[in-house]
Amino acid sequence: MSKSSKWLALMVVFALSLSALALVGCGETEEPAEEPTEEPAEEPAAADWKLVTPGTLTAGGEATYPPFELINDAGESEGFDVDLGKEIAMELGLEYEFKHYNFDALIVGLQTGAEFDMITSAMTIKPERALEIDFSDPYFDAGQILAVRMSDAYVTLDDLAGKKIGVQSGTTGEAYTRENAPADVTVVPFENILQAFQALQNGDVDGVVNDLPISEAIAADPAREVKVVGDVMSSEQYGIGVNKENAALRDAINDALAKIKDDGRYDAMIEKWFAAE
Amino acid sequence: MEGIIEYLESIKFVHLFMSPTIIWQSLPLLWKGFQAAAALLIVGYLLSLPAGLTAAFMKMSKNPIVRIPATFYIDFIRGTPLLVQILVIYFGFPLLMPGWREFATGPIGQISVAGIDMSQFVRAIAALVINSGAYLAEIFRAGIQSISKGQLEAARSLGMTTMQAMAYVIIPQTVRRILPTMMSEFILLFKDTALFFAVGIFELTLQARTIQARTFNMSPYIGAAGFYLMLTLPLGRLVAYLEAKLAVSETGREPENRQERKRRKAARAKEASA
Repeated sequence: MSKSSKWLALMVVFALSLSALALVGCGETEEPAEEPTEEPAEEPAAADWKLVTPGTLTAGGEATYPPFELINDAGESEGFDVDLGKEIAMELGLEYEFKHYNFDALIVGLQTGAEFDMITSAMTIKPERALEIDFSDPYFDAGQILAVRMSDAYVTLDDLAGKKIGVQSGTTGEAYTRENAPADVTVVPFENILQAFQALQNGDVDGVVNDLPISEAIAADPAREVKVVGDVMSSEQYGIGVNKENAALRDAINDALAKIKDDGRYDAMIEKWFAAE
Repeated sequence: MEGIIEYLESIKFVHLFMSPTIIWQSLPLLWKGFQAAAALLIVGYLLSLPAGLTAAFMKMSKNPIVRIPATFYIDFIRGTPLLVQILVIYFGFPLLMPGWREFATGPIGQISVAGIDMSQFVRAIAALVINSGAYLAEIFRAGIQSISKGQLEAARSLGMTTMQAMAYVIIPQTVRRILPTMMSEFILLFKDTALFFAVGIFELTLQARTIQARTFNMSPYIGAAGFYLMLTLPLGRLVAYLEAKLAVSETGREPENRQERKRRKAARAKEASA
């Protein structure tokens, strides 16, 4: 055996043992799920709600929306909505799982009843959406704000007459812009809000309309060369989406939400994710 | 008529996927999207031809300094998804070019090509040409190399230069042979223009998607599918026809169809019994 083929053999063995270890590791993480959780499920009606995966509260969201949901450097989902979902799952005595999903497909995904149990994706409670799904009590106040390039002097939507405004596809920002911008504005929907801001920087669009907390967080990065301008254009509230056929789960989420708000955990989350403001 | 539409809309599946009302309302926007997609396709494909031919000749070169970059380009492009290439070129190009933002927001960048801003159009075309050029290069190379070496040698013996032999003897035969494959690439490229929805270019798919997001209904996508088929179906038939013609010219024999085979069989049987 030559020296190089020995090395190759060693590397193969190493790779194989690594993947074996990874498999064992997976097995280990699954085990605690079978143990009874420390907190016994308080609701005796636990059997009333339907879950996609028994014993697990599965949340759906588009993880491109910092600080509400994002994928961190380690490849894990995190953010305000993720923390909130974890707390709710704990209150219900369930395991927690986050599923990444395109924002404009979230409602359909929830309706199939096979993807996730609730939507936690900074989703605004809107009458059109409430026709399709149920919402929990509101958990966050947000509104639409305009962001423009640092070098431009636009302040309102009317200043952008004849221009292009970037939005995230399927968001309230898109709906608000379509309803309120001058008729000759072209609304350009992007897959996620970060691409819309990239397009703003590149000059493809001249403004971005989006939820205030996210736009502020993005504009805070000087490399973006963008600023938020004008007043908050609408008052909106985020809610957790639940399948209409799963009222028991919605009620349980509302109870959990009330508890989390009461005992200070909610404020701690606000502190953690919005400390800069 | 109204009664029929009302009945169709009452069926959940029909309403969700092929609602006549929503498809009808979507038509003007879908038509705009179709024009944009067709403009991208035609300009992109025409520019891909010289790009592909150049890459093909470079790859066939004996000189490694010419050959290796071409091989690398073709392998890299054919081995990676077009969507990744689009995202890199579309969002990356402006970062590379100083003054891009001024160009994009200036008068030239704002010129509309089939409803797409020039600044967006050029980047989309760049992505298409870079992608399709690599695929066409392999089609051209395979076609040229399929012509027997003897032809080149015969042309050279008649006093033609290699360039002349290529232009008057090899390429004309190659074109006939690869025409169906080239047209298949044309069809593929048309379907690929759908990927530009991801960067906010209002082609057919993004138009359908915006209507879908507004109505929570899948019918606009089916309407868009109809527009795609409008071009791909006839072209697909044309490719099949050309392939059959090509088979005739290559083998000198008409391909047998079923009726003909039956007739011959009957004739043979008659002969045998006689």
